[in-house]
Amino acid sequence: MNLDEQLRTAYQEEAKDWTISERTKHKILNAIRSESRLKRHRKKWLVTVLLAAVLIVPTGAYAGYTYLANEMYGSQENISAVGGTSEDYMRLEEKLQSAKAHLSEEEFIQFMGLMKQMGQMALKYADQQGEMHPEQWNATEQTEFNRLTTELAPFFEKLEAASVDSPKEPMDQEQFWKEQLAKAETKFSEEQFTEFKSLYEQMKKYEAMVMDQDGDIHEERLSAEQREELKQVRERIFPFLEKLGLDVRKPGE
Amino acid sequence: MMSEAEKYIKLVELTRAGDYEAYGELYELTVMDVYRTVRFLIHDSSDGEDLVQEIYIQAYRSLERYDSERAFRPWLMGVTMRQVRSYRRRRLTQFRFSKRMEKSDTGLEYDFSGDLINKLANRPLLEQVHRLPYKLQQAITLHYLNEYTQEEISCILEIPLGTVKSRIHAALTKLRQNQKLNLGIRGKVEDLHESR
Repeated sequence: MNLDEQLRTAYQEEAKDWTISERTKHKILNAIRSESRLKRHRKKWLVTVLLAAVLIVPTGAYAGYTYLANEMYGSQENISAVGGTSEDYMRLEEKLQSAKAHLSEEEFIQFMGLMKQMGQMALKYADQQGEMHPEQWNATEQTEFNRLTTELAPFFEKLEAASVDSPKEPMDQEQFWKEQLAKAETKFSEEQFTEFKSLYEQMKKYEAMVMDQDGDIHEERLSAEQREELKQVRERIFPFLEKLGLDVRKPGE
Repeated sequence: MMSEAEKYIKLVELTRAGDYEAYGELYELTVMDVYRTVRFLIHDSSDGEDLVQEIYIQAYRSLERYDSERAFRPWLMGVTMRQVRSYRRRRLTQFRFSKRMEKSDTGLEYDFSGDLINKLANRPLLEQVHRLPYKLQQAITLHYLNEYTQEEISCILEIPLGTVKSRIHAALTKLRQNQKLNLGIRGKVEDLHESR
């Protein structure tokens, strides 16, 4: 048998019993259903879209740190009161971070001011699914809501356009770590901070070793010892991230 | 009779018009390819399902920007490769944050029923594949597991055709070298096979 055939057979044999559970399909369809439901109402309740999107849409993947979302909702506990999971919370943070990146400083302050008011409204009125139903409110509340919606609209349009242009990584890694380090510096003892920083730098060093310019990861460039070392660095950095208030998912969890 | 390509285009149109069942059908038609590729490349069955979920949600979001002139399956595989890439990076030097999503009930599905011996004979070869540089692994997995043509792989990975050819060639050359070294071991497994 030549290598071509051998490879084909080997792959087929190996993969032929790999099946995926039915539940994955349901999860996907549910997720896109809630996402499109939100999209359809985009024009009408622009703000609801953003809020509800971050509260409802479950996605996997990466999320960022928590402070901006805290600013808006007070705390993560508040957001779970309106049906948000910690994942949703992270997504909200991600959106706010991307807003921060795309707006000027002045615009962002204005935007956050409005978002805070919106957050208060969500806490007061949103149902279990994180959705608001302004049509059921009294006139004063509706006026207030419409004012916020109108003022926020241009920001959302701007952000919408920006996110279409750069549908890449959800959050800037450099930015994320920069802010974690800044926070750690104020929160940790000097000793702890030094250790945290050194762990971070080691991680960066490994990343530079394995990552190509196009973003491809080549783990095979690390020796067994280096891999083990990196694993330990990751493990040691967990407690620090937890101390920073991040809800970190450990490998295999 | 609709051709395969027309069928995909039709389903994409229906999905864009808000028909979720159509997306479900697209999923059914493609998920085997996607899941197997993902599982092979990330070498982890429990994360595989989560990642497939992310891939199809991401693909749905990108569907607005999908150009129907392009073949659907390679396009989807392109989305898949990008998600796999960000997963690999995350796994290495980034962190995932807790999410309250129930664990899928897969995991243990070792196959003791069928042709274990056959698998044993194939394993060493696939393990060699896993030891190749990732770019080479990726190219030959698309080619041999999914049977994509070199032209299609060039679209999927957004690299020139010449690069695809040289990656496949380099991968095969390395595997051949390894095979020579491992002939002794393979021979033994094959003996076992024949004496069964």
